[in-house]
Amino acid sequence: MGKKNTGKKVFVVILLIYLLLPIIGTLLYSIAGKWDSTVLPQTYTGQYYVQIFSNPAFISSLLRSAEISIISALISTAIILPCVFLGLMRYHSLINVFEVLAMIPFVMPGVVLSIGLIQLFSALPGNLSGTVFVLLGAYFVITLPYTYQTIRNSFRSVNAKNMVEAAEVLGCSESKAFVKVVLPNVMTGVVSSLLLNISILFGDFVLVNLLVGAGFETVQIFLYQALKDNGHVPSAVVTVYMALIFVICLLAFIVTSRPNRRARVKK
Amino acid sequence: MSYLTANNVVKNFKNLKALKGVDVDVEKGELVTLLGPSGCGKSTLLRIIAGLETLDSGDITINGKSIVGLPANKRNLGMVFQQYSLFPNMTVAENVAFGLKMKKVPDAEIKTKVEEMLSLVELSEKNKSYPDELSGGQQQRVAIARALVVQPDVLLLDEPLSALDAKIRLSLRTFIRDIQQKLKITTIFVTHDQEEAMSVSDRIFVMDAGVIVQSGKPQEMYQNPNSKFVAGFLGTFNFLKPEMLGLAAGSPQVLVRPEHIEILPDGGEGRGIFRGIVQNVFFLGNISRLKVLVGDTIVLIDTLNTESDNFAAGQNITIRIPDEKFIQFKD
Repeated sequence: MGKKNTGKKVFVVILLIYLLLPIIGTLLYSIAGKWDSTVLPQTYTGQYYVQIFSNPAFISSLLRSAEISIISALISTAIILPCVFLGLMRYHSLINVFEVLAMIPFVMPGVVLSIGLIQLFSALPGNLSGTVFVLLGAYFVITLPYTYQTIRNSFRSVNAKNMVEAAEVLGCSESKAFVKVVLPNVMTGVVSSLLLNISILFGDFVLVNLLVGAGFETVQIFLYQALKDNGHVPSAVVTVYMALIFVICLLAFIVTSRPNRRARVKK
Repeated sequence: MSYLTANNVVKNFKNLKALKGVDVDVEKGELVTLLGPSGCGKSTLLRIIAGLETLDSGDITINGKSIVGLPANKRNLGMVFQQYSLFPNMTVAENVAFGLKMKKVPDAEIKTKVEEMLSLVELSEKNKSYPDELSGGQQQRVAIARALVVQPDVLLLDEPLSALDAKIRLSLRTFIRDIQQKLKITTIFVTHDQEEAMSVSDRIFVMDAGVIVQSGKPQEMYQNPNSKFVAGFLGTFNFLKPEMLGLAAGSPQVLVRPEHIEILPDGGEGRGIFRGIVQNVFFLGNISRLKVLVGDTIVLIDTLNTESDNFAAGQNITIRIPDEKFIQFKD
């Protein structure tokens, strides 16, 4: 038993080192002044953070990333949530369609997807190609599996169909039952799906670069441009980006680990 | 005309004929049970009455008026589900008040009615608890209170005791019957448990494969089942070969209840008297069920447990199967 636990601990420590080493390296490099032939930097500086935070282009890119991620995640949730509800309540075949659709982004690489979208929108009237609207559409597709799976699981775990039926027999309409009974009980899943999507979209480079490019400079595009100068500024950008993702993950963790009344229902 | 009627109700799910022209009638204040094995259509019929499923043809009336076109939220029915279906985000009092709020009952009246109903189900002290803080039995009592508080025309109970353990099931079924009689509310109870059905019902409708195979008062049906299916479903029967009892070969099988077979402590000879060896003894509390080998036939016998009777496996006994207790069916 003791040997077993030691083995587990060693594995966890090795895993943590493997995962944290690049992060720590990036963090150190972002605050390193002089760092030539030593293990740790010889001098430290905050100048690269001052540099990026005093650069309006960086702040704008950060805000653009936040805007596009939050708006896309909200659109995705706003569309998928009622669709899953209707699929589970009435149109059961819709769920099968979603199951297939939710698989596609996993099997199709982002590059293939973006080239397909460029070709599609170039052929369509309205000249949407190269605009942020194409990106919103692409992000909807990319986040579909995560949004769908999380929301569907939330509905199933609270037995939404049964709750709606109980509410209907008590004189409630289906739409009112959705708002008053189902939504409060699946809110944890909905919020965690939102946060998950935001963190995924925040890190996107492939789609935004191919579909919109420099016309819509997100933090990832800014990072790509910064790589052309020196390594310290990109390290500072990556550190800020990682800190943001960490905060989002922490929020998601807090939301999902709140006491779930349904999970403790006694039989 | 009965208070609630289901006339020639037909329901198909793709290739499955769930209900094949079912007729049910319920008098006002009566508790009837739809009894049958899984998949016989009993819950489907209940859901059609509730408005949660549509019927393909037929009619449902309450107090002489058809309710077929009405959505579930306009039928004024109460329903209790197997899995309680309480709203986890609401307290007990909020759950019970939900139906009244939907009917836009004034707040003061809601408060009074909720208090009354919680008192009726003996859960007044739990009014601020959440469903996950209650036991299964308590949750089901809240579900009953929630269904009753809106003063429904008919109370529908869809296997309300199935998710509970045996002891709670027993007490809750008595509780349901007491409340039903106290409020004199017309009730339809769905179950696959024959003991449950016989103990709480005014009348039972036994269903099989989408049809009602027999209906009547519990005692009548127990004593006079009209088919092997009903006989087997309501209690236990011995299915005996006619030759064993001196009847002509080829005549229908003979059915005899285990409690109708007598054990003759002093032995005996004559018609219907057999010798057998006890194979096993099942202690069932107030009775024991003996599994007895008579010739090449296994016969089950129920006997009251008394201090003087102590049967054991391997024991030779003499039994009497009385002619007047035979039941024979052609099917």
